[in-house]
Amino acid sequence: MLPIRVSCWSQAAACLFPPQQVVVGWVHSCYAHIINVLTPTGRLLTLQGEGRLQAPLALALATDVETLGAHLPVGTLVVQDLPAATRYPAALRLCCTDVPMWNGYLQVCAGVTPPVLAYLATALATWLCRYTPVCGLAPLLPTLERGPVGLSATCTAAYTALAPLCTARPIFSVTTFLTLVRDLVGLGEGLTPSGDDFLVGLLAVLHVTGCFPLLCSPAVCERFCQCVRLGTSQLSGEFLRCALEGHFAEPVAMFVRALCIREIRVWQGYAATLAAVGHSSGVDAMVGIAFGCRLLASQVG
Amino acid sequence: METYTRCLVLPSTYRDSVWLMHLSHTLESLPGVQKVAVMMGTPHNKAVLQEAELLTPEGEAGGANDLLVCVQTETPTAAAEALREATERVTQQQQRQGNGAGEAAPRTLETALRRLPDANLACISVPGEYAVQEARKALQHGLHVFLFSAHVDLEAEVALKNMAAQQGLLMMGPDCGTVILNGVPLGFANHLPRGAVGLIAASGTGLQQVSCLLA
Repeated sequence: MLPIRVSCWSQAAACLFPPQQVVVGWVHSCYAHIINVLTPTGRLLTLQGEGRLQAPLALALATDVETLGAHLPVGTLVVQDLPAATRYPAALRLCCTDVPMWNGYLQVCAGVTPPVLAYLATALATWLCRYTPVCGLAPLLPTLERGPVGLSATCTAAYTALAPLCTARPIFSVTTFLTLVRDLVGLGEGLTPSGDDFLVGLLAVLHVTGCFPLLCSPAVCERFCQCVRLGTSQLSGEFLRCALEGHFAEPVAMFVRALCIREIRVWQGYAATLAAVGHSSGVDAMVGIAFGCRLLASQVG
Repeated sequence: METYTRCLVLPSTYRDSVWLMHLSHTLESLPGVQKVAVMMGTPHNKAVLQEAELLTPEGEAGGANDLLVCVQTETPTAAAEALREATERVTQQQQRQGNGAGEAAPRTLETALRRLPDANLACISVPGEYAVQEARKALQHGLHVFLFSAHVDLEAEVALKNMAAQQGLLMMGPDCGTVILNGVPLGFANHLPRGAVGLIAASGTGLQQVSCLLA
């Protein structure tokens, strides 16, 4: 098979590729325009077509990925296109030289003060209630004030986890964080369950506010990973693990960076893009961001 | 009334969320089906399914990497029919992918036209900088154009429209988001009954609102 050129990759994915390592991994799953590849170290890479990087560990290929995926049964070997790779029985060879890199790491944003967080929480919740009122976990937002009337089973379960944090306003501690993870991970519809997408959004807020290192010691991270391993699919767990490490898919990172500029004309375009991701994944991540802003508004400072 | 619950466990099955939603809606529309849930078999989802009385021992045995299709129906036959439909759809998609393996998606307008020689309309959705060239090419091939792409400068737009007018072709766009032509929706469109009224407007959203009010 001819080598396929990688046209762009995320920084997090690039870090998993030592230049002389032949084996990239084995095909884990194929659907729609995505091929997932399990690396020798147990990470899941997402191979996609050209365009926005849809996963934190994404590689955009200069080819039609849907057609390519049809040739690749689960378990087939994927290698880098290196001279040493010729003796490997690979079904897919990736040409990874001189690939442009996209950085999906969310750094601390200095201007995100408690009043700004309070403003962003309200503005984003208003946007979600206006434009995506019945999508994913969005119906949850108005009910956090008024009670869980008319919610789906998934939203009701999420409400049970989140409402106490809105009414009692406890300090957002390690225990609170891990309880949220335990209660939400693997909850809901979709390939990446809604609860997982929510947690991705919440983690994005923890990273840009600088709360993450205060809250998440290595021991906490280990407990988080354990919850994820036991509570959700391998694929969704990879997104959560990356979010814990500060790496996000392009639509999420672009939106959060735009949100930090605090100008609605800037961020709502990115919000519309994120809202279109998956059936409700983008919206659920935004609900997590709105909730994270609200939660931290009274605690950061 | 007596109800029947059945769960189908599809091991290590991954499908994108939009496909899962479509499957769920399809099964819900089958006769005798009361409730449907299509979810990954995570512990929390199994708890939600249990609460909704949609979990069977087969479903309980599914893991977080397995896709669960759970139905509650009025009759055992309806349950069996719903799960047969789900299995068929999963298999169909796999076969479709397999069948498509020998034939790559067309990468140029010319290839697409060779495959569909009777086509009379091109939908163009590419970055604006390439859109003019593709639209011009389509008009040269005698195709009406639905140009979804934005960021086409005014001069180029005028040139395209003049070119189309000279050939008696429609040149819709750039930045054309909604069209219903001969009952066929292109881009974003509402589900509308056929009627005697034709509408055209510079504002897609306004046009949609008027068409919905008329309908």
